[in-house]
Amino acid sequence: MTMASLTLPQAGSVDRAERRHFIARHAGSMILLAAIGIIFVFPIAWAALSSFKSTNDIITGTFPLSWSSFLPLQPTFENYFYLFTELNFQRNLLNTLIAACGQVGIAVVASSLAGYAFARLRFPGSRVVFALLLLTAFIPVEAIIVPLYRIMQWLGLVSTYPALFLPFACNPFGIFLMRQAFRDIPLEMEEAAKIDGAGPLRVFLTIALPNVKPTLATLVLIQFIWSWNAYLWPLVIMQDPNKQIAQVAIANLKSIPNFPMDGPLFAAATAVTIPLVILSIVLQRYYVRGLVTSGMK
Amino acid sequence: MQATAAKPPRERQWTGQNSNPILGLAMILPAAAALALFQFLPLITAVLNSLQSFSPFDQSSTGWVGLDNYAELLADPAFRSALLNTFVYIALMLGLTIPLALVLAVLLDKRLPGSTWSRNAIIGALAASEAVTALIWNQMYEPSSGLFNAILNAVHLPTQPFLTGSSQALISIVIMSVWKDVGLPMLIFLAGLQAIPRELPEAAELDGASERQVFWTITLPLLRPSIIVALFMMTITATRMFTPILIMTQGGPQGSTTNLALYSYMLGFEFQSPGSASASVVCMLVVLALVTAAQSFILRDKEAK
Amino acid sequence: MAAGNNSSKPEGISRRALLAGMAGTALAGALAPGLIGTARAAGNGKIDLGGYAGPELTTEPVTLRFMRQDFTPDVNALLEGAYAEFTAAYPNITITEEKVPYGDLQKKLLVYIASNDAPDIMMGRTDFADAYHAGKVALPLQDYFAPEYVADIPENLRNAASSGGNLYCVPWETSVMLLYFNRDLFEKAGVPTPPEVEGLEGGWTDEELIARLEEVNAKLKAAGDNQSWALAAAGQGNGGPGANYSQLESIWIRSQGDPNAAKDSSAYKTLMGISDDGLSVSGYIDTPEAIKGMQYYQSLFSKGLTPLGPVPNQFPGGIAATYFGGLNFTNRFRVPGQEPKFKWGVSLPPKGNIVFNGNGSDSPLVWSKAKHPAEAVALLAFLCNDKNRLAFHKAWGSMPSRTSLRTAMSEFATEQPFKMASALSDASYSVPRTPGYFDYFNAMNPAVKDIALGADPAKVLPDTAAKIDRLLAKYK
Repeated sequence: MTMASLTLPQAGSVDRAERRHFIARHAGSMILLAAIGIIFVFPIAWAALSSFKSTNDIITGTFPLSWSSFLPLQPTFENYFYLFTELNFQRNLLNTLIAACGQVGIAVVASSLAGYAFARLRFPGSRVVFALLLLTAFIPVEAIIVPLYRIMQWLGLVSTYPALFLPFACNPFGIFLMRQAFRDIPLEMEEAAKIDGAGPLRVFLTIALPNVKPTLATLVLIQFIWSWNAYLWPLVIMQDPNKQIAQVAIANLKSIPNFPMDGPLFAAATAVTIPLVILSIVLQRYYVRGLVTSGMK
Repeated sequence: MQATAAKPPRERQWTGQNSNPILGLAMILPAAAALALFQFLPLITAVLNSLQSFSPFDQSSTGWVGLDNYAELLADPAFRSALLNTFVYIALMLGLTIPLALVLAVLLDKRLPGSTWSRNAIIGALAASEAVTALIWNQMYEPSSGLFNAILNAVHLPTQPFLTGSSQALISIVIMSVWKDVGLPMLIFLAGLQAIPRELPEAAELDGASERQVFWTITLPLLRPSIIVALFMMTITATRMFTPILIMTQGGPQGSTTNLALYSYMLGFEFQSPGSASASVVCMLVVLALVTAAQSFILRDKEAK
Repeated sequence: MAAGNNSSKPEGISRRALLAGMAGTALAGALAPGLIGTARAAGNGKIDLGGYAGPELTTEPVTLRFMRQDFTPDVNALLEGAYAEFTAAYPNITITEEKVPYGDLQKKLLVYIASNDAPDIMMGRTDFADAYHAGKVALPLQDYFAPEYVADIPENLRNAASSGGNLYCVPWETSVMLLYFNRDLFEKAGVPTPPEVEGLEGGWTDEELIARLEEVNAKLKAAGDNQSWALAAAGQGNGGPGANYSQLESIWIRSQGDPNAAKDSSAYKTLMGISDDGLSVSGYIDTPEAIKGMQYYQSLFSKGLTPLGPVPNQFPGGIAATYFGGLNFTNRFRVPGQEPKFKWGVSLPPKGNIVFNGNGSDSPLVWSKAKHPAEAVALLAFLCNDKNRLAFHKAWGSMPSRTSLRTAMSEFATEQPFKMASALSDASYSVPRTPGYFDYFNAMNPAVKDIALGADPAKVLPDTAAKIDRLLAKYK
């Protein structure tokens, strides 16, 4: 299975009559495609639009159906204002960023080291260890959450920043991805360096790493997105509201007695999601390749 | 799997591997240690905990009780219901996402105008987090002030309880998850489709086969590795479904949306029963193992190539 | 996540929303300088330690940790002023505090206990007195306090805070559940308002309440008002049905009980809510009386009298005719600039067989393994001395947990809402006594929500009873 790039060919080379004919034949499919796009864009777009409505407008204006169900008829920035002044949401975003950077940093280092070792070094038990490490991909975080919590307690790391990213920074996906990438490097390059007398470590640093930059980019992107979106583990391990990440903070906005925060909820959801959506679409080469690889183990 | 690099032009074949035990072990140490500590150890702990009982006050172990925790679970109707729901979630997710992903992949593979828009939208949906998606859909599902009932009302259809009705809650959550997660199998299928050499279906069409015949007899069998991968990933996703349930229904109404993942969490964090929670987790992993084993068996390569 | 056992005050982020409206800054301005002034003046180390009667405090350096919920800034300022005064009098003692969202308090407490490194003083509730006893979590306090002080706590509240003969936590406030009503809406509907009595007699029964609410609902709709509700959504805990069994929804079940019935009758058991050994619930929450009570509760939802989800600002916003709330609303509504746009009144919660109220109260406890128990109790006693408590109740709007304080606050002798609250509190009951109360209400809350959504109480209550029995087995 090759990692084919999934870009589309240019559609500009047919002449106009052919194009009209083409469109007529495929009109049905094109409408279908447009509809599909709308379905997948809609909820997030609706949330983004609603974030510019006041909470009262959201609750009273949606039902019965009218234009105000979808569009802010009296757009306001008050939700964002409230979010970033009263609720100090920027604090949560910062915490999320810290956790994501921690996870990405450790992932890159640990996965590259391990990936190279599995790709190019032979040592006793390497196959067994590799298989074991890959096995951990089957363990859903929901299954180990209670014992993992107690381990963190024992390490004294509950409610600390490292606790947010440490357990999941080294994951089998990263190791697999990097091993694949290192294997793809043409052997001649490494041979040449070895002839010059470079040891494996030197080869790793000067030849291997620079040549897997696209894969590293994929790893960074995927890990960043995974960390950014994490919910359950931060919910359980971070009990200090000042260090809590954005996803959990947003969920807390859902349940306040007699003060539903629909407006700030949508604003926060938009603030947290739109950057990621844009990032994943713009960098979809890397993102898609990463996702597809995560299944190929 | 990836083919190995071209062989060097010399007689002694170098597989590209150096024998260097110390460095090798040193380089895998960080990752291996982390995985051992944060994945294997909790797993083993969970299994061991499931065989012990604990004090509800300070969570210390009060002794080994063998399979008592498991017996208690089986006696709890809520556990049996959670077990059943876990299978229901798996069946519904697989039954909905895989065919849908296949259809979408085939459609997008044609590269008609509009495909980019469509594909980007699906990728965007994938990048949203579970928590945010659940919160947004929760608003849309609201029975008295939500968007879906507003639309139903406007076209004079009866409004639905959605998440507040014990018969609709589970499927409502599944539909949201399908929306969010169908992108992943779709991308896998798309990659698989693009790996099929164009000549094969073209040759078949020249021979007079209809598009549908081509699909079933040529495309689908060649997609089998992708299907296996997609099935596997969706099974794990469906088994560990947790965040949407916690946010949208907290397991209700009347336990109709509780699966083993949520049940274990509640036992562990709300009812101070680490022993039973661990036993429930072990059951969940067993279910996962059984389902994936069944899949591998059913879809095994029956013809030796 | 478990819903908090909230004494009917909003929590977390919403408190900050309150900040915008509360004229609390005015109150803080009036009180804080006074306290700080006292702190500067007290240089000789003698301050009023309230009911403290324990050993002399040490002169060694000590750090005391206090874990509590977050309050509004003005109340927080009061407490910080109190710490400053204490530290000025005992310079060797440093005080650090940890503020936790209200709903997470009990969970955090358990986490701390499990990690064997807990704060010296932690905010608990009388609801968990049996758990504190069974888990050896809290220090018995009766020997550290003067007998007069302990006797000053009303007997039912004192018993609620005690277990096995020891006082495990000190209620520093209490609360009652009252029925608020919007006079203007009742007038608009042409329906007589609930009786504003001062004692326990004369309030509406369950049937009367539901019938009147139906009338209000029908007449408001007939007059074209489609926005108002007869009963506002519950505002305690996380809001909506099944958010606060301990203080609100339990009323519907336990008010059907009878304290004077034979001890083995279902009426008596319905009131008690649990067996004497605190381990079994079947036969206590699934009695015919309990089912009847929950059927009344369910009819509120099935008849469209109250919404199913939390709705913004219903009662204070003037779009709900009635609301179950604590005394703090009365206090809040009387703050100049905070008055609601409508005329309002307070009545008793509906009577089943009796008028029932729960007396679960916020009660700080001292960790059993605190390194400096005397100093911790001294700080606690200081925070609970007359001056600090009176200032707290004035700012926060909660009800005092000591008889002498109630006497010191004149409104309890002169104004109807306070007199009624007093009577209710004196006749209130503790939550069902069990070391496993955390499990109990964590199982009851979802059950109540299911009933509100339409499930049959005759099925849900027995199922929940069986579930709670299973959960309580580990406390044997």
